[in-house]
Amino acid sequence: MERFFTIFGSIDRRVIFLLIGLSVLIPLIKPDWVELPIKIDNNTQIVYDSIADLNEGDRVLLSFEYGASTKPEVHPMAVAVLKHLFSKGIKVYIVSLWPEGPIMAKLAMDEIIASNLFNIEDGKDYVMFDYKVGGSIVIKNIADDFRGIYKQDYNKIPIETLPIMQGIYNVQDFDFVFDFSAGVPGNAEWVQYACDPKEVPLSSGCTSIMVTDAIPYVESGQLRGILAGMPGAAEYEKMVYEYLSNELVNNNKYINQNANIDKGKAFARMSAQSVAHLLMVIFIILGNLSYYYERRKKG
Amino acid sequence: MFIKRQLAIIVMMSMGFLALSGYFLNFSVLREFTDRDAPQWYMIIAGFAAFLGCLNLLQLHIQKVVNKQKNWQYSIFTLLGFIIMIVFAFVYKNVDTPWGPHLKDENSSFYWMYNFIYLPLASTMFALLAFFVASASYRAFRIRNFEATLLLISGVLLMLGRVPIGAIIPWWVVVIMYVSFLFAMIASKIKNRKVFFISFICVNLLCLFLGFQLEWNTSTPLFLLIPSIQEWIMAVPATAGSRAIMIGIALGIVAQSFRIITGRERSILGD
Repeated sequence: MERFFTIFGSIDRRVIFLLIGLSVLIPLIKPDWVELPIKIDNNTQIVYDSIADLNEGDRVLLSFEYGASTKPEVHPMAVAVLKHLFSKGIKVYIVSLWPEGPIMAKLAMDEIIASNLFNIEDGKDYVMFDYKVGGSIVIKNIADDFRGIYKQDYNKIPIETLPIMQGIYNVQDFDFVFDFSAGVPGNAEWVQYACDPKEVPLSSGCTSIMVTDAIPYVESGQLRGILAGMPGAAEYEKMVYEYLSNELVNNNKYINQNANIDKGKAFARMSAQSVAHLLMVIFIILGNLSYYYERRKKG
Repeated sequence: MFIKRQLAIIVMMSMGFLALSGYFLNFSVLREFTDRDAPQWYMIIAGFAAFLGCLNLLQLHIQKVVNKQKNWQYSIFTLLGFIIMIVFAFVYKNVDTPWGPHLKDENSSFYWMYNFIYLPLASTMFALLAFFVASASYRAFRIRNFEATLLLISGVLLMLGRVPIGAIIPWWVVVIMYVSFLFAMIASKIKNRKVFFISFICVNLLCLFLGFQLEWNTSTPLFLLIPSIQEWIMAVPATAGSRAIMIGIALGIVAQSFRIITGRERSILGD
């Protein structure tokens, strides 16, 4: 036993890489082999309830602040939130504070349109805006003078001609703000420069690594819950999937009856993440046992 | 010299005082400036800064290749990537869509490059983290001292608590984990190995017996559920630590801003 642990202590890192690779690949290729129940986190529930409390015709500002590298983690939550909003007949306004944001927003909207779940129209039910340079200063401008920085939408149509833009002048004209964030500017800047001073409810979905920085705002109520990384996305996808399935049966007027509802991508990826985390914990335990025997050997 | 040094400091100080006074003086013109004009100026300057950043990147990597500095070969790929994307953004678009909107046209070369080259590459880079984190945690998460043990315990609980597998771990596993951590902490105090292992097994059996007597298998207390422990770690110790760091950063920003506004901090001028 002692010999086994001592040998394990000097294991080649390529072996670890191989095992991690397999632990991720197998559940992704064969999700049925590792099906795990998803428990809803309290913060995800708060986000869901905050959006569920919105009414038909309410206006929600979505901010896309992530890029290609963080897409697998944040993008599924963006799609799930969009589905939830459109199923309630809520008007969606999309801004991007990262250069890659508009492409991410377009990919998310393309996915929604391709799903054929909703009869939505650009400029009437949703509107997208291009990237604006300036980070937190853009947030401050949105808070004070939205039309000062956004003169036209993503399709170069002047905003005065868009029916969805009627009555939108600053952040207080929105009923809710949701931020998809993977860095700076992100949810902290939305709290500091716009939503807290102007008292507009704000929620956020972010990468797992950002959660520790965002949690103080969640605990103080400045952020209404948080979707924390891939698990948060999977939990939200599950809740939206169940909600949409119920609404489809209840003949929700915003959902196409002949459309298929899918569970989402994060939902499928959670098994892979679970197995990988478990493997890491096993490595840590074995590594410590090896460390213990090594120390004992040295006296 | 005057333009580079004194004028820059004068502009920096006057703008700093002007922007700051808007929040303290009840003067509508000043307030209008800080709320509307100054942010617009900032955005214009930031736009130019992005342009300067591109020029700087080009200059830096061209110099590296010309002088054949260390790892100059990688700079060729950086320059190639930069130039190819510039060509597809400003020279060749492959679609009839006007210049500008073509960047978002799915059929344009630029969009194709982004979607099928950059996006998978960036995702791959991020995914590599999983391998390095696994290897690093295996080597670094060791019970060396009290602080390292705390880090290890919270790390393991967060790793398990954030994924579905954490919710299916039964209460008795968590009990054994608690007892193991406790004995790991006091291991150095007990010299006799036999006494140590017998007491470890006895305490485990006692706790498990107590758990079955209290029917923890039907109504598990929250402190024995890994997702609940994870939520508590995030809500209490992590929040306390984050707040302390945030307050420290805020005080640092105030001090640094004061130094900039009063002209004492000149590193931003390239000193």
